[in-house]
Amino acid sequence: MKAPLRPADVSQVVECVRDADGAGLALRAGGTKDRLGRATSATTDVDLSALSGIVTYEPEELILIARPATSLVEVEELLAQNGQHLAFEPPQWGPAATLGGTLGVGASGPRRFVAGAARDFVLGMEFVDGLGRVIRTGGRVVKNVTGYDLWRSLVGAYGTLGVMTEICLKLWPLPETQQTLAVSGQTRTDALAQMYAWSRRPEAVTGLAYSDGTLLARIEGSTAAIEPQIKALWQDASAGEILADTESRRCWERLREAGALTAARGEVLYRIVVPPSRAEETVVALERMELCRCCLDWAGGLLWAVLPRDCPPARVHTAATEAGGMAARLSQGPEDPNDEAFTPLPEGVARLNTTLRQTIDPQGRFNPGRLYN
Amino acid sequence: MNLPTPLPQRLARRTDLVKRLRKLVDDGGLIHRDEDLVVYECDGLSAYRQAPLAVALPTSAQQVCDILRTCGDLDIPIVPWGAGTGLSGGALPLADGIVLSLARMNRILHVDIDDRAVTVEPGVTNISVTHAVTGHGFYYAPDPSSQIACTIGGNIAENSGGVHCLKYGTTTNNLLGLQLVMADGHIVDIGSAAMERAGYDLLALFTGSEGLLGIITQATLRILPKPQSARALMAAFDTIAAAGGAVADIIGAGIIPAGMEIMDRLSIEAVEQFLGCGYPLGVESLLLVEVDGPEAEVDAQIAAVQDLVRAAGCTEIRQADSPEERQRLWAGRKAAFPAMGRLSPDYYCMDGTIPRGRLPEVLERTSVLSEAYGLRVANVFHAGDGNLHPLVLYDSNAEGELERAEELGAEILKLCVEVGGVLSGEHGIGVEKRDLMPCQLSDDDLDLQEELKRAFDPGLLLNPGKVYPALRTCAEGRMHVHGGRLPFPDLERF
Repeated sequence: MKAPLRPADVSQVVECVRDADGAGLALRAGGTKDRLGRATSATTDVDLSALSGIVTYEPEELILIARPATSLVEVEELLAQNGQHLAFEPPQWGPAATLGGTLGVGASGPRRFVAGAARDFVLGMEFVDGLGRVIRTGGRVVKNVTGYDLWRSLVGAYGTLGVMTEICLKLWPLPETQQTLAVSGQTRTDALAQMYAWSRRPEAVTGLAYSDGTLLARIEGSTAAIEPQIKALWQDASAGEILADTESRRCWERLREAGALTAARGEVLYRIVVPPSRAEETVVALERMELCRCCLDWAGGLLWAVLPRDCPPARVHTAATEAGGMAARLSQGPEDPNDEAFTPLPEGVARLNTTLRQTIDPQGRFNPGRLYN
Repeated sequence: MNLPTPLPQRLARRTDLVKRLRKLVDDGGLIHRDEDLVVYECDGLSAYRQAPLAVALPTSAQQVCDILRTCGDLDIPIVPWGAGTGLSGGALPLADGIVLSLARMNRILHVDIDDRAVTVEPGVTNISVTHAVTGHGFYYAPDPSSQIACTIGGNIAENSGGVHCLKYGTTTNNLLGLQLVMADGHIVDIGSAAMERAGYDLLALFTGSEGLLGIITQATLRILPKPQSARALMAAFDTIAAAGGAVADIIGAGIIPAGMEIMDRLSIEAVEQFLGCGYPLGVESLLLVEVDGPEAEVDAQIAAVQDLVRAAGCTEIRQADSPEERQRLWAGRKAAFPAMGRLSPDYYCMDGTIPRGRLPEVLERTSVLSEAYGLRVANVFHAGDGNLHPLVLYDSNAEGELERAEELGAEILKLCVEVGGVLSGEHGIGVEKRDLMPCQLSDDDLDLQEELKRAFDPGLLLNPGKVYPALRTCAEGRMHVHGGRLPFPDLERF
């Protein structure tokens, strides 16, 4: 491994890209997303930490433009001071999390099933492509049909399509308060049925999860409006306790960070996304693989599952595929190449992925191997 | 406006093409007689007309794939077609190409309420999606004004919006899966009702790609529970800037209205003459605000909006509490386009998006331009999402007025870009704004986009001549909604 490069501005990023050798560049900043994805084979680290800072924050325009290594925590604190937030509720996976890393892995939290995903909150981007060109795509407005929405494709690309150098995010008002109805002692089947029923309701239900035998439903909004709504759910469930603001926040932060699950020695954590209606069959399939524990989020659309380490990842990927979804295996640490991190793509989709990659980064310079081989 | 020059060798293959296409589709699946092709000469941008070699109307993805392969063999371009309601000429046929109409692929395939998703074929109309789920208490959020006629395939191709985009997003934010037939005839399924997909976000790339990358044969759409309550109010202001200030105050107060519209004096007067819907006259601007959501929330928000517009200096407020009153308030706004026909024999409709806060400046400079060109401009504005629809009024019978109107239109769109906005918010680039693209995108940006086009469609047979400029200069565009006679007079346009 060579000494890391530390570009301080866009032109230095361009230089790094133009001077890159065949082994490629490993893009890094906060280092909080190492457990996600495969290990890259790149031999040159590019430390993007110097590309940080907020360029523009315009609360009335609901936008924030920032450089990629800007701290996620700092951004969220600043937004909160102004009564705003990132509505896709990004997990941090560590205090050093950056905006670029968050978007690079496309991290969306519990509110995703109603609010949209990370990619829905990115309005535009400046990035450097594999030929060292500075590309500006999108803009700072919500409605925009001028060419392809390339910037959205960089979200969740694990840094394999380009180096983000500036990001424009769509912001959202921070709900005044929140409360959560927690109904304990629920079977998974009953909890799922209740989640489906509540996800149809017109109340502002912004979290529906099931963890440790407890069904959790979050309502957000103004103090005055929240009471009748949480009561409606409570009456519906005819049981449960109501978690007030602070306690509710703590509960969803825990779920956001990894479904409150941690893998012990000899275990592996998976993040599995399936159509919500297929949650039950997915868990049943995982149980056949000696599932240690799991929790459900996104009204059944997201499963965090802990499996024994000797369970072949291919079996998990097959189960996810059969349910119409995908799985991601979390790495065990620096020694784990996590080759089978992602569900293999069907042939046609794989071809389109390759076409996209080879067009934007023809030499495969960025994070080679990080997403697929 | 130059479309690619028709190639004589392609024109010469017409008989062969028709013979081969006939074998691929049933009797109703091919239109090729000159007199029958007239219907397909133009989309909603009726100033440009061109009959295609033939129109194929497949009923399955397999047929689409067969047609694409045949066209590939014969080197014949393909222009995909939904309902032909688009306003940017994105579906304008080519003389040496076919139109591929997806109109007969119009089935709703699955409604999955637990997944909050609906899977449809591309020829399903936008409103039918909502109709299919309304009994379950759900709806499909994107609502382009032509929603009774426009198709989901066309909506995805143009990333269509509507009046509720700030709160509910555009098509791209309400799409979960696609089935596509690629230029080489391969059928590819991307996504499902799951909320994330493995690999790159290809849905993002294909949404809004204006038919240049693949043919949509299926789509899985996200549906939402119908809001419990909706309330609206209208506020009159002495200046546009004051109305714009109220918009900033509302958003600044943490309220995201479902819809927020501003009309200027000329639009208000036109609408009032046209419809007599009771809008106040003699005011400089009207702001229409609608909030929706849980009942308790909506009641609090509409009260807060009232206070905010008052504080922003509004001269009159009307609040709609019943659905009927709400519809009356909206009726005038929705009639803004047709109402222009009363003021002027012809008008152009532009579709730029700007940062909301720049509205007063953009309108002021538009009015300076309007005077310089000697043409009136009426403004209606989706104030929530910054999407501006300036309507340039002109008379095509007056010598030189058409050209002046086109130049003025281009100047207004360049102004949108200059203040940090974009050339098109929801109508797409098509052929209409194609030559203005270099005003917004750099050579490198355009190069990369065209490289992607070539990578996915190496034969350049999918909708060639659209979106990307023939020449890389910031040329005068020809944004052209012509004749005061809308191509689909029954459709709402707002």
